[in-house]
Amino acid sequence: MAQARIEPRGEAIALGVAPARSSWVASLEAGAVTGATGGALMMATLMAQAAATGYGALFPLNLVGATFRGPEALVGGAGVMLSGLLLYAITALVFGTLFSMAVLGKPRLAPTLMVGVAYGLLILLFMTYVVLPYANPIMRQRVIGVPGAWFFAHVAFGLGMGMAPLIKRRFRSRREPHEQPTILAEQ
Amino acid sequence: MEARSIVVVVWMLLAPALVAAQGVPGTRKSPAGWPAVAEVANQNALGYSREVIARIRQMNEIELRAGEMAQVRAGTTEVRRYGRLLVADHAGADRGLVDYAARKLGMQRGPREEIPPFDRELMAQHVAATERLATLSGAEFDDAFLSMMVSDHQSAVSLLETARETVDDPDLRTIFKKVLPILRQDLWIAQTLLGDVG
Repeated sequence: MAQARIEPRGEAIALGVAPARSSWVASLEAGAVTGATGGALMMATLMAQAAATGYGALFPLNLVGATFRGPEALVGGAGVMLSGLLLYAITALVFGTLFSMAVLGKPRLAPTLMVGVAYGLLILLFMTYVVLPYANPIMRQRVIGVPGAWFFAHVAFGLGMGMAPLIKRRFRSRREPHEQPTILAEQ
Repeated sequence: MEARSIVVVVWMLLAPALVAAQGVPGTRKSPAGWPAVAEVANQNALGYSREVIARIRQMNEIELRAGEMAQVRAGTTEVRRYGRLLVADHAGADRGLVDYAARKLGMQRGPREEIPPFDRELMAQHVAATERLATLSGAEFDDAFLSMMVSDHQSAVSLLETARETVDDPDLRTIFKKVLPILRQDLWIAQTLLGDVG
């Protein structure tokens, strides 16, 4: 029978022993918070750019809301903005959860930040060339006119993704002691 | 003697044709003068680009003034927001054109108020229309403003569609390609709001 050793959690990776995965619930929770973090950073960047160019800080929400209403959403009020915010939040949570669940073990922050930024730029390409042309051509026509702001917004989203290890660690540490994974030694 | 005569006759017949083939130096009909032709063609292209940019900047100026007025005098919140959208869209389009003109055509950057109108008659008509708008408020203003925006944006879309196909510079064509969908959105919104107001 194969033997295993009880090791402190921090040394599990160094010994090549696969760390025990956190529960799915903890991963989903961490993913939601990761998505919210990245989404908030990205929206802050877009709002700052919109305010600086005279569109008003809440204009990005109108742009997202154009998914449901068409061009007239650009002059819409609270209802349009709320629907835009809801759609944006769901999208950010989904992307954040996918990234967080892909983060295995306890990677270091700096490499994960870089991977997060790459992930953000991948999402930029996916949204700009696959999703937006069909789901929201109004928004696409406007964001390709401001490529710099669109790029930095997705970098900000990626940096939020890169916080995934920190966020996951916090969620894991909240679990009860009896839920900690253990490896039993062969007697 | 006979052969010499034939050569002279042939030369006399061919000479005008050869001279005609040379054409007038410095024009399109002058193969020998292609460097001059290229320079003349380039100057023509630059002149056309300058003309198009001047027309569009004048149009932007008109929409900017109307949009600013709408933010103050509009009867509904949507029309006020539309005024702000117009100002932001046309200011953004103008910035792109000013950057291009300064970079490629050597045109001076100047504040909006110093732009000389390209078509003085058209500008005078719009000034008169804007002065009429300034006497209105509420639903009357909304109706007059939106009608003006529909006709102005229809003209603007038509102008840019033509310009996009006829200007030489690909950078300028790219600018027009980016601005055209924005103008079409502004036109759609004006038509929708006009339907709501009417």
